[in-house]
Amino acid sequence: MSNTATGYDVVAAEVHRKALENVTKEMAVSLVRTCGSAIVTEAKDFSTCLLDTKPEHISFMTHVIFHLASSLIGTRAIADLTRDQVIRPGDGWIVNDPHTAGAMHQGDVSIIMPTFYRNEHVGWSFADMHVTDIGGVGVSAFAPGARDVYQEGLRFPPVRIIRDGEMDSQWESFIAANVRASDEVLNDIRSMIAANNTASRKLVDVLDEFGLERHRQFSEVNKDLSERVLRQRIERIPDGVYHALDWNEFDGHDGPDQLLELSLKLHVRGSNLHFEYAGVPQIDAYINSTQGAMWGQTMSGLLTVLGYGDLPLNGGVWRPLSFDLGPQGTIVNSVPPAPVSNAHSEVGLRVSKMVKDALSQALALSGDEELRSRVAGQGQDGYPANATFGPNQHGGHSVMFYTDNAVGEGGGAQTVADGQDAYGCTCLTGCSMADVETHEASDPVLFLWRRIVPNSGGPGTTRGGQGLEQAYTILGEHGASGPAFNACAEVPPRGFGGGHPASTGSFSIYRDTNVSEMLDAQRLPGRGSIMGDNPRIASKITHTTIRPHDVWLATSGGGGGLGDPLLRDPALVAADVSADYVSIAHARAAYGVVLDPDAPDGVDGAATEAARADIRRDRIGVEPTLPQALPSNGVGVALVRDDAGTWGCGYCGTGLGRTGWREQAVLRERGVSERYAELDMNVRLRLEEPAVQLREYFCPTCAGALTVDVVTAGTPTVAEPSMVSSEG
Amino acid sequence: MEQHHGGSGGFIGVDVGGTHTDVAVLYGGKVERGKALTTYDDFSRGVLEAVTVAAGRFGLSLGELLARTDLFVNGTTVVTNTITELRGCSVGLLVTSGFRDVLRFAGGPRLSVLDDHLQVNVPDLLSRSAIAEVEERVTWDGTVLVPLDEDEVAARLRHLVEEEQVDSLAICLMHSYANETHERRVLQIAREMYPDLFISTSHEVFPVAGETRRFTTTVLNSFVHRDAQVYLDSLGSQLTASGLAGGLMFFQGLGGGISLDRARTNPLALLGSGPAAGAIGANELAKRMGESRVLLGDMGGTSFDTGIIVNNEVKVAKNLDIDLFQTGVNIVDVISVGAGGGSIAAIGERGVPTVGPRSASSTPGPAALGRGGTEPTVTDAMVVLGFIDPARYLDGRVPLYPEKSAAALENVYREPFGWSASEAACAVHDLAVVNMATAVREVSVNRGYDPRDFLFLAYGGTLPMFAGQIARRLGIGRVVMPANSSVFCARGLLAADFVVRRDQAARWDLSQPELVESVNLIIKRLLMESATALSEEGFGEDRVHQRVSADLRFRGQSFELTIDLPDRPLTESDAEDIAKQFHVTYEETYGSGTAWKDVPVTMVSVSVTATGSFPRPAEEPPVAGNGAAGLDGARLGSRLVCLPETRETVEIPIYLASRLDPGMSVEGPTIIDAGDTTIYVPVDCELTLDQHGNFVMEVS
Repeated sequence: MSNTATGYDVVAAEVHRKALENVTKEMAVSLVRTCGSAIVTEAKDFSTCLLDTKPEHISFMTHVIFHLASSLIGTRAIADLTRDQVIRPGDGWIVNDPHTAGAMHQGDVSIIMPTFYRNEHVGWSFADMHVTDIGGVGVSAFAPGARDVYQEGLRFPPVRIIRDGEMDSQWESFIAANVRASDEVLNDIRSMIAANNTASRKLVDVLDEFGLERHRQFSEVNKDLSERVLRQRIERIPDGVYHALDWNEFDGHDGPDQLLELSLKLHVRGSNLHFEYAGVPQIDAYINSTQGAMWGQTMSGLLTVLGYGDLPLNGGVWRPLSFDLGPQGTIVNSVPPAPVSNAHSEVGLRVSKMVKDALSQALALSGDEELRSRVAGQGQDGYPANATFGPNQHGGHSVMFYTDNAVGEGGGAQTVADGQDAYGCTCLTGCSMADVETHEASDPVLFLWRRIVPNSGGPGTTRGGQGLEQAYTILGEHGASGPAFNACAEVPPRGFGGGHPASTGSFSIYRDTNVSEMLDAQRLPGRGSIMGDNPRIASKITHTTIRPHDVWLATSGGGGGLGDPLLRDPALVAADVSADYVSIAHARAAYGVVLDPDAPDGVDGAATEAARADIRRDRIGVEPTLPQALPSNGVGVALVRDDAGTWGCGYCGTGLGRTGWREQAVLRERGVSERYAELDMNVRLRLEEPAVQLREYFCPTCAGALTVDVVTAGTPTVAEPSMVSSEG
Repeated sequence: MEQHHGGSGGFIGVDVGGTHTDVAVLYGGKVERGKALTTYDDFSRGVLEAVTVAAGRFGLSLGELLARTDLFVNGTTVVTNTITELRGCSVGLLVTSGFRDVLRFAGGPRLSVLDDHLQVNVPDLLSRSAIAEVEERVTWDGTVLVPLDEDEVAARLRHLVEEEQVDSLAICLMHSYANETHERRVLQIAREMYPDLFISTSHEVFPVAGETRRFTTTVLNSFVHRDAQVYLDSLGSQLTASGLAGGLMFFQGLGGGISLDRARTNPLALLGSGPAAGAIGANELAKRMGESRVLLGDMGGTSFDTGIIVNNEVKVAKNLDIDLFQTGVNIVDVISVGAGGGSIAAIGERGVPTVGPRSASSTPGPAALGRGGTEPTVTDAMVVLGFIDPARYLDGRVPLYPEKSAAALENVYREPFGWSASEAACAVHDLAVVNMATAVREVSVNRGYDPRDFLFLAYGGTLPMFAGQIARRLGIGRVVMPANSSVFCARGLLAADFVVRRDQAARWDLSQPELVESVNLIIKRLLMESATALSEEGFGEDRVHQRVSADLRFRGQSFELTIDLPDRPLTESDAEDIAKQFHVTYEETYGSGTAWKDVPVTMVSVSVTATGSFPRPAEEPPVAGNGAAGLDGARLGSRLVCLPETRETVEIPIYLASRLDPGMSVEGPTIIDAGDTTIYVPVDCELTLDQHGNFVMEVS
């Protein structure tokens, strides 16, 4: 039913979109069923998609947002490579090189194959998963000990290892000779080939139904439609440049303990977003990022905020976006020999957090209520983990890489609700964690607890999501060895709009414990009863051994808060205290809430009012002259800007000048670790320069929290958005 | 369940649905139906009203029919509602020290969607202060590492009951599937202290490894118990008072019934019974028709349910997720999507027409009802196209206003697309068909089956309007629309057997055949327990069938496949056969060449399903409708209908179902009016009434 209003058949175009979506879903079904590895069934660390010959996405099915970038860049690399070559049905390429072909890190392996219709090359299909291992000095591709990319294991720029839909046997034996657990790895690759073969078959059915011409027409139509929705949303964001700043932590290779600065300038121009990144020079450790992780983690931050509702993912969502990674040789744009095996989970995770921060600043100034409601705290995005290897109770060996603490990170607070507990990394939608009973049945471990970490969520009007903490001891006579790492210990994720940063994560290993003594006495070792040596250890460890009856303790941090915590409903704070999510001291210090167990809502109303008044006085050193009201522009909108370009307090309306509103506000600067100890929270204290500081800015009139910056000592005042006048 | 001193051959099936309570009665070889509105304040009132209607069709009073009834089978949504509305009772939970937050973590609550506003915590079924930790520890192989601290148990129980004021308990200890001693002891202490408290223990409710599902299932069982009990007792006592002579059975989502007493202690088994009843009925019909591979569909007001039957076996899916809760409940494998008659047609943010999942439900309902609904629905589209006769909607009981449907559609679609009401209606029709066809693909293609090899069995009052078009999209050649389509789920209940299922974690690496005895112990125990259960319910051995199955996987995999085991003790030599059979099943399911090479196979759990069957009287074929008058005699007239497949408005013949004789055929395009059901025969399709009163459509 073609119609004059649109010039094409809108129903058929929508049916075509759903048909392509089915193809990518069926690819995923093939992948999951033929693979069956816990990495795809539990952690859901895989994606499938279809692209056209341009190449642009025409359908995308993901659990991992950043594969939008690996699929696009990887397929472009193959398209360039084969421009003058004959490609045949059943050809297929393997790609995992972050430096040349858009991979997130070497563990994320893509298989990309051309799709054909009646002997005509019509596009590409793509499958990607985190494979079990890729060789090198790390395990499962995580190599904190590597000094250069050559130590990190196999690196494939696009290599045609597949002919006639099957892996070349010489390549099979080559790969098998270079990886741990080669049976699993080859099976992983075969299952990605199976997914691509499914795409080849099923796409023919779609083309039979619609014909090639309409297939192409509708693919373009649907890209245009998605593009239009995203542009319409961006258009409602005020033009300007929004700044975000962060530091990647690296204390590996035996020091020095570095904080590596990186920054984002988000340029909003009409319906376009331009992401301008900068960073310090690349280093000799696995944290460096490349184009794939930069683009991909930008997408993670962007789409969890703006990718709501009716917005199918395809090439259209790329069109409003552009990127500038700056000169080569930095941590945001590294080149060989820079090691990159944790690019996506070190610098990459900081990138998705910076995108959230800059976007929230921009959305808060939108005249559109829906967009303002999308402001949020940052998620934790950085987790403690180890990857160890040792003999198990079944007479074999176990690789123990538990993603529980990655899944167990708290999510950023939202306007509509507190942040989700155990939200996981922003990039990993739909990830799940294995049960304790599953771990204990397969590996030589005894879990002592797995619990919510009290006071881990960033304080705010809505609270950040809470983190997971777990502890296990090794049973048996051996122990297990491997690397251990944590990306977010010292520079916590930020809150927004006066919301506070969250507690960070950590790991530690208790040595020479009383575990065996207690078990002999038939007592259960618990949080209060474990004794042992617990020396401070680095956040990145190349190799350690967890011996029998040592205790591995890993704590995930929470998500950042949203809005001033003094505006949180006291009854919600009391409920959190009653549930032991929040301590009485934290309720008093962070929220100004005093409890009364006999009151119906658990709150001593008068004492709470007095406590909050005390905190406000303390914030600005004098009695506030106006009351702090709920922000008129919605939760978390602590700053407003009028048509004349004057900044103002979102709570009481006090003007804060046309530029440099931070100068007009009252600043309190403290070391974050010291300040958080007062709040009964936890951020790891740095022992080397520079210190990490918390800069709290308050309205001089009502004492409402305007923003809470996290910076290193000596960092110049954080830049405020530079707005472009609407006439420009 | 005392089915022995029954009446005289009557069987009653009652399906309590969201809007209607449907009844099917088999008596004296005939099936009659009854319908009443579901009564939410006391479900049993609607049940008795609907049965009274059906009784009337036999010329009997309610009491007279019940006195002649051998078996009364009831499917209810009461348990589902309690969970989706989160209005269960106050549960206290005892867990192993260190594991208080299993329900909150929920195995990772993040949904596979981008939008951060949808990433919320799993709702709390109980407050965290009502979760008490007790010191004890059992390991994965059942070894007691730390004994139970019984004094602490008593203190915690006192706290929960006296301070937290819980009115039921759940006892969930780590690895209790491998060794239930501690849970049993806690249960014993709790019973001594509080004999009247309802208590669920995880080793009884779902003794399978994996604390997230085991704990969630156990807590939910206590959470729903009070609502379930009120319902069960109310219906039970009213039926007894009204003179029910035979047995009373409640239908489980698993696809069979249980007695009232068993439903009281394990109320969670009643989850999802509605769709399961349809599937059981579909399979019965398929067997009668000699069909073994069936895709089934049921379209209601808000949703479309679909499932698959292979080799006349209704697949049972493990681990039902209900809303955000992950349970271990076994349930007939039926999926549901938001595509029903009340699904709202709108325009998405991309400017593309959409249908569902939002629904107008029964209030205000479709615009055509004139009850204030202004948003167009699928039903409105079908009214505008002319498929639904406004004068004869639901046997003429409910007036329709086609002009309101047209206005609602034009209001949404005229400006952006320039569509007339009928053009808009065609678009809505097509999208509804695609949404349903996609769901059918999901239960077939995504499970490894080609829909073209299947029959499409379409029931419910609305689906027969769409069934031909759905079949065509999927390449399915044949569609069957059963007699009494609108009460098909209630009819399914007439076919229900008594079913008891027991699952138990096992651990047998098949590369070590000598360890077979540990599995044998479990199988023996499950067989004995289920046999005892059926014998207690009065089933003689001749009417009991036991089936043993096991879940297996390749070591290192995290999902299982189920295969049948012989119902005798296993021997070492069985290990190799079972492993072989697993490989075969694996490749049948996932495709040849997909089985892992040189990786051992592990058995992770064993299940016994025990079925007690009821002898049922034969059903007589329906009386011929119109005798010698032939096809012309069945013709009701003709109507202008806009055909979505051609976009042309043409006059097509209308036939009255009740006047068609078995064996008669009509060619599309045509409409068959069956009272509360409208069947559309699309262009180039042919419809035949078979000997059992079912409509069989050949789709080109």
